[in-house]
Parts: sequence; structure tokens; C-alpha cells
Amino acid sequence: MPHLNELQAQFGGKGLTILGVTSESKKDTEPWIEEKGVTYPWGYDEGGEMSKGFGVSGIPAAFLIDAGGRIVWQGHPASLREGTIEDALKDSYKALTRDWPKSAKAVGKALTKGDLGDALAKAEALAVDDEFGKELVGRVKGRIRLKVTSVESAFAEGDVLVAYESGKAIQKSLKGLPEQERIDSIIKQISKDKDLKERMKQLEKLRKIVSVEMDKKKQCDEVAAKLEKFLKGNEGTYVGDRIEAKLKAIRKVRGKLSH
Amino acid sequence: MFRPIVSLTAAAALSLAALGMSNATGDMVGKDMPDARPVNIGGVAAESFDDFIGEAVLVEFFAYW
Repeated sequence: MPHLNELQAQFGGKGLTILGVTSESKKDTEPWIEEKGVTYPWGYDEGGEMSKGFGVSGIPAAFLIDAGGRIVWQGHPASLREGTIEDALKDSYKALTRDWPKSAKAVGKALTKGDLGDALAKAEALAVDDEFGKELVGRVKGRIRLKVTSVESAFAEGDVLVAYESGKAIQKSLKGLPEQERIDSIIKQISKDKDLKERMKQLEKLRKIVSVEMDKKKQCDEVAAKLEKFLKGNEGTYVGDRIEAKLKAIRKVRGKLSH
Repeated sequence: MFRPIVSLTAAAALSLAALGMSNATGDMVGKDMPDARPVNIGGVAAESFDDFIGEAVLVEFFAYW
């Protein structure tokens, strides 16, 4: 899905979550995710309940849901215009707080502005004597945890490229929160360490090699040849392991292509 | 491939996209999203769909094949 990867790059930090949903098994789906180099989140529709609820009759089928949970567009993913997304994002605050009590609207404002520290402070103030405020505290904390853990787990795993990029993207939104220091420290560690900076370059190179269409055997072979060349000298390192995982996934997918 | 025709109004184009190309049985636009939620979210550290609060979500139903 190179198209959705592009949308992720363009809108991912600007209030849009892209979520792939599949009724297929994890075992069959993850090599495909790896081979396609999917950069946005995905989830599993166990029992097909979700696709049934949306009335999906074939794939791909896409739905744009505003911040308040209302469907604002449906169609083939390739026919989604940037303007439609921009319109939905423009109204995120209104959509999110559509059914909220007036007292909670300031939390929604901070949330949709991406100011998570402020959102949490306002939700906590509201939670003192308000049940909905309590619920909001939990949800804002979930959002902070999601953002912070994504950076920390990428860093712990060794993916300094994703850690650096997503860390930079959320740094500002964590202003005033203790989590900000953790993210700052990760970014600092990466930018100060010669080896980690070199690894970041290598990961960028890997990303570039695999960010092409691989719908035909020939395309898979071309990418695999490049990866094999890139692997030489990188065996046994983090980048080497990533290259090998990618090669394995490409071979698996290639085997399923008819031409 | 869905090609917009200039003379169509935005609403007509939207319903064409919805009916002709959407791979869905009905028009869901304007409705609240159904209750079912995805599980085992990958690619980010989300524990549930609720963690995406505050953002618009583009859901794409896909399959590896």
C-alpha cells in the first residue's frame, strides 16, 4: 500500500491515524506487512465483525472517520482526495467534542491541537468532580502512552530511524509532561552517538530500497538483489538482521505471485 | 479507477465513489462507526482503538493476497 504510506507520511503527524484492518490471520498477514514496508498501524478483525458492521463487500474498502467517530467518507482508498482528509482534520475539534459537555471542551481543544500535556492537566482538573473528566484522563493517558511507547520500543528494539523521527514528531506535544524528558534523552542519545547515526543512515537506505512496488516477481527479484548486495558486510548487525527479515518476507510473498 | 467528471457536483461524485467503487453494501456516510473494534493492533504501541482519541481515522479493510 504505497499510497497509504504516502498519506501516513503526509498526515500522520497532523491528526490522522491510518489503520489497516484485516480478517486474515496474523501468520499470513505479517510477512506481507514486512514486505510492503507498511508504515501505518494495522489491526485484526477477528470473526469479521468489524467488516460486517461497515457493510464491506469486497476489498480494498476504506472509510474516513472523523475524530468524533462519525463516518465522513467511504470509497476505494485510491479515490480518496487530500482535500477530503484536510476537511475532516479541520473540524477535528468540533467532531471530537460533538457530544461532550461544555465543561470538557477545553480538553478536546488541547487534544486536537496535539498539546497532550495541556490536555491531561485540563482533564485532571475536570476529573476532580466529574465522571466524564475521569474517563478523559484515562483516554488522554492512553494517547500519551501510545506516543511515548512507540518511540521507546523502536529505540529499545534498535530502530533508531523510527525512534528519532517519531520522537521528533511528538517532542512538542509532550511539553510539561515527565515523558518529555524520556523522549528528549532518546533523541539526544541518537544524535550524539556516531554508531547510531550511521545506523540511521543505513536504515534510511534500507527504507529507500524497499519503497517500490513489488507486485511482480521481477520487481521482487530486483529488490532482493539489491538487498543481498547491501547485506554484505552488514551480517550479524541490527541492520543486517533487518535486511535478512526483509529478504525472507519478499521471498515468501514472491512465491505467491503468479507472474 | 474512479475518475471524477468535472460537471458532477461534489455530492454526486461522492455518491458515485461510494456506490460504484466502495466495496461496501450501503452508504455509511453520516453514520457513527459500528461498535466492533480491531484487536492486536500492530505497528504502534496502541492497546486499543480508543488510544487514537482526538484523531480522525482512515480505516482500510485489506487482505495480504
